Amino acid sequence: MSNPTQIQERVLKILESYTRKDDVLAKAMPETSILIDLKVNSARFVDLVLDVEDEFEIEIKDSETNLINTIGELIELIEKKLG
Amino acid sequence: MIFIGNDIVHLKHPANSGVNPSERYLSKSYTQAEQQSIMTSIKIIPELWKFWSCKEAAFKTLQKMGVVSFYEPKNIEVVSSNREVGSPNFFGIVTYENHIIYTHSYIQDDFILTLGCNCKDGLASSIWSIESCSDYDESRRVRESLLNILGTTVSNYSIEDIKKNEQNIPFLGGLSSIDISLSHDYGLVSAAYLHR
Repeated sequence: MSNPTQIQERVLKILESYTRKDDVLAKAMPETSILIDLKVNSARFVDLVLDVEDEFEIEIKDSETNLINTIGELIELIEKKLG
Repeated sequence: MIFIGNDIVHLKHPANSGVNPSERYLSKSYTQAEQQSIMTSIKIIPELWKFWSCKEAAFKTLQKMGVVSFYEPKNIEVVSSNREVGSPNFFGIVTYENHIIYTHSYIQDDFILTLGCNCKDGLASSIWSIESCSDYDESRRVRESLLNILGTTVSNYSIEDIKKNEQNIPFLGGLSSIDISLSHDYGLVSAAYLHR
């Protein structure tokens, strides 16, 4: 089980592998857009979701993936899944 | 209104050439029919990216049409993509709900470039470019490439005049008669435009 801060740290760690915008990631806020601000390639977004599923041992449905725009939305979804 | 969307995939980049087409990976983005087509292809990885490229180009077009806001790759289905005999050109149809996007994919060993349009004639009249550049210079280079192919039409424009709206859709400030689309992937950039 992780607390919100630990979840955020683990999510940011995963995002490190997918963004070249290290400066943006360093100052990331919940409203930071994964695709627009961090410029994560949309093709890589699928790999990112798979990594998140593995890291937190959760399953993210397609309908849920479509609604993830920001880091905050991703963290919120993980928190919800972890109960 | 006619809209275009483009997408380029660098097939030789390790991030793309090394993708693992596992059932779990494919099921995230591709329909059952697409997965079947990909996995029975002689060249699985290029086929996977061809489908992806068609979906991306279609999504950009659909986004401009105002019928989709989130990228839902599995709901944007490539229903056909057929090769023109003896050429690197594939012409396809992509559907989303009751909308149809026509696609033209140009495939070489190292890249796939797809242009999508909601009007079949728009595909033929669109102008596009492809260039290579440094990984870290893509944003500027793709804009320069667009201005190059637009030529004298926008002789007084600079790359700062190529703006993006709140949905991240690029447009030419003050020139709504020209639709544009930009794409880059690991050092390859492609720009496209269409006179409406």
